[in-house]
Amino acid sequence: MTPTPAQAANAAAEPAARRAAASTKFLAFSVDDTAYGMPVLRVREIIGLLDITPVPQVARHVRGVVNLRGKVIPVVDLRVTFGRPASGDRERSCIVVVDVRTSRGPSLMGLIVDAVSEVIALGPADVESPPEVGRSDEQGYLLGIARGRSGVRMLLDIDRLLGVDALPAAPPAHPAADAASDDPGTS
Amino acid sequence: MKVPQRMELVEHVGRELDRLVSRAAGRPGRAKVVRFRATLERLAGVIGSLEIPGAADLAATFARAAGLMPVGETEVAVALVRREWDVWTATLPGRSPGLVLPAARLSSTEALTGSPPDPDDDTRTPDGTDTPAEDEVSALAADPEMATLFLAEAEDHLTAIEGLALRLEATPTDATLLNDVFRPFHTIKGNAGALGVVSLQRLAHAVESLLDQARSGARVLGPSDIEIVLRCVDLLNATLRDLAARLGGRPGTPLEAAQAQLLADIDRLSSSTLVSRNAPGGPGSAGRAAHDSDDTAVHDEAESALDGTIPARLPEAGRAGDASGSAGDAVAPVPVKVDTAKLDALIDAVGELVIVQSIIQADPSLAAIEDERLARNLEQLARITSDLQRSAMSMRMVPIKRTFQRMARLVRDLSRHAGKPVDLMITGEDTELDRKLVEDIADPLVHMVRNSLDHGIEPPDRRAALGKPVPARLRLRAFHEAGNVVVELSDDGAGLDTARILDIAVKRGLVSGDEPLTAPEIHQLIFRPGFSTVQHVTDISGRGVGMDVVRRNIETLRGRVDIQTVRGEGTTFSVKLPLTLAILDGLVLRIGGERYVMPAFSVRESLRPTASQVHAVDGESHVIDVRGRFLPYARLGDLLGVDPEPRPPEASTVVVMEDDGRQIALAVDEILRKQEVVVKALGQTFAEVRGVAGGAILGDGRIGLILDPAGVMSLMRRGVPRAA
Repeated sequence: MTPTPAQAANAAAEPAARRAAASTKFLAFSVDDTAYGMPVLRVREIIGLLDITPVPQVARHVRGVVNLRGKVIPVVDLRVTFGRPASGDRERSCIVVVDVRTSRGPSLMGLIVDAVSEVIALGPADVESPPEVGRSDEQGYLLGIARGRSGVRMLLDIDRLLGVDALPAAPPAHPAADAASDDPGTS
Repeated sequence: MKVPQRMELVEHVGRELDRLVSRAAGRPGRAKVVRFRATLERLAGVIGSLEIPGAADLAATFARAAGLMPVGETEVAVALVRREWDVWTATLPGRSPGLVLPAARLSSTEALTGSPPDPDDDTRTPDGTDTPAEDEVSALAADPEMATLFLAEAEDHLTAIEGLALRLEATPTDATLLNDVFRPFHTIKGNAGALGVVSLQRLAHAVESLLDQARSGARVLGPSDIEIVLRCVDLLNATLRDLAARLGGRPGTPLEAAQAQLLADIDRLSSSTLVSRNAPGGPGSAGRAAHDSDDTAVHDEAESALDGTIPARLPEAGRAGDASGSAGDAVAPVPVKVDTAKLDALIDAVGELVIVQSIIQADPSLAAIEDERLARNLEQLARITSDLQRSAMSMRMVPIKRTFQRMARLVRDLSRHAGKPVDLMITGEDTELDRKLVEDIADPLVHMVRNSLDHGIEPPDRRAALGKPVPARLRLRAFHEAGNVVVELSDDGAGLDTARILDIAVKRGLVSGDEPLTAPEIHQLIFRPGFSTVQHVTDISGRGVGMDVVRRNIETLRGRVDIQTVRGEGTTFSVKLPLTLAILDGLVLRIGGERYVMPAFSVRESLRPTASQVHAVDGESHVIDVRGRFLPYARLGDLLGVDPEPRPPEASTVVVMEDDGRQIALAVDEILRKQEVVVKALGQTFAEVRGVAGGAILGDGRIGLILDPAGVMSLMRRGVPRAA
């Protein structure tokens, strides 16, 4: 069917690259007013905040575990991961269950985010590689920065962000429970 | 048989062979090949019945050729058989002139192969026309289902052969054993031949001939023969793996060289002087090493190229176990082959069913319904679910036999390599554990066996000097105990040198040296990474990497390993593993708003203490007086690092937990109930958490963390942390 003049105008306005190149779909979400995205193919499901059972002696960003239809999966508070000030869970907070791949194989993990908005398609023209400046460990987990009409969006490489290799070693929960006094080889 | 009759038969065979030669031209199909084989076998029979010198050998050649008749090589195989025949008949005395082979016949053979066939060339290796490996793979790929079945069955046969071969080494003249080892090779050969897998067929056939010599009494199997059989098993396994890989589109490993080598070795062995030597005695003379027997020297000469040093003695108790096994065979259940993926899916589904069922059962709105029929049905549901669960769990249980068999093989190889004779006794190989455990326990066991042979067991001269029996005694036991499977490895070697271990640990900075450690605690130091008493790298044990892997692997399986040792007398490693990783009999406890599950087997008792029972030792530690005994006391919530509202002892419940012979008293808010829970692993994220071994999904769908007694004990030892 022939495009309307408006459609034709829109099509012409969009960068040619966006039409030509293959685009990837991302799940758009936010944590503490910062916009993020993650490859939608890794997202298993999105659930409400269930009862989270806390687990002792873990890093602060690991809130605990939840029962996902019989599977026990760890839940990470992305706000803490990104070093934001801790504040209570918001009304639209939910858990995004993702498929994380590490050197030890795939596993499921839940990520607590403040709000999930939509699935967006991004082409290579929309995404810039992350800048080199800043702490190298921070930049390591960005796939890129997307520029959209509503602003910039940080695209996350969840394997790098959450893989066991990436999670910092659990800080000692108590001064006396210092891991160093036991097995020197572990962790 | 009268001479004229014989000659008639010879002529008859000659004629048949002529026909065979002409029919074998070109590439006859499989059906034809099968017929050719049958013909050759028949002819072999006929020749064998001729009472002419050399007939028996020729018959054997025919039979071998029949066995080796490969698809696509029929021509050449038949031509070579013909050549053998011609050569032999040329030597026959008093032949009628009619049997003199006209030059035309010889040249037809040449025409077939393009060159005069090499008289030394065995029918086993038709010159220059080895079936290219690709042919075998494509032959198998033509029928993938058949291929999978064939590979799986062959693997099973090889496992059986390996175990039997080890037993055969102890009693090489046992006719039943010989047959039991012969038959699977024969089956593999037949199946491989039918599918066109020449490499397997050849190998199987070669070993089969060797075994056949033993069966007919022409040969008594010695250690070199067993060695060859075992090498064949290994190579056949490797070939199977290679085929499987290439069928799956992955690159294979070139095995032709190894195969050729093995065939050559078998050949050499078969044709070496058949020496009759005293078979090593049965179970009664287990203490004597084979090199005590006088005939070995002669045997050694013939096989010096192949023979190693002293063979290991072999599991005798295993045979006792098998005797009962064969008696039980009459009523043995027929197993069914099921895809493991399907089985796992079924078991997972049953696990989920159990959870949902218990959630429904615990639903308060359901409990509010006062309906007798509903109550009865729910009870019925609970019962059936429980049965289903037990059934599903049992499907995952397999005997540890196969792992133990691997150990038997390992011990034999290591003992020969190290020159330390070993008497291995295995008991409880029918003990069942979770299928995954059986695989996972293998690696740690291998390390422990190596450690024992390398460090524990002294060299024979040292043992003799110490007055110990020269063959070292190694015992491998498996049994069930208190909800666990216990696997024990004991040796009567040198035992652990406690002082030296402590010394080294201090030197390596693993311990400070001034904290008081009990002997068992010192022994556990050998599992620390970086610990090793080996000055140099031996190729048996390698560096001290082995033992820390052992403990870590076992802990991953929610097990533990204990050591008992007496210096100069020996060491016993005791590996305790939970019977199944999936279900735990637990005591559900409450601390604050969270529930925790304590494994029931570690709970000794529980009590409601009075304030006067608890005494402070210093600012931090406490003890509790339980019926006159003082036990270390702590609040479990404090140990774990969760923050409950602190309650005074008289408002808590105390659970006495035991681990490794030590007991401690733990205060919790409440004991809720005893419950069988389905264990869920927490995952890598929580690998470093001490005291917690997994998660259980409780009746209301929430998670209760499962406690790990050893971990809790270690938290206790570190001292109760100060309140954050």
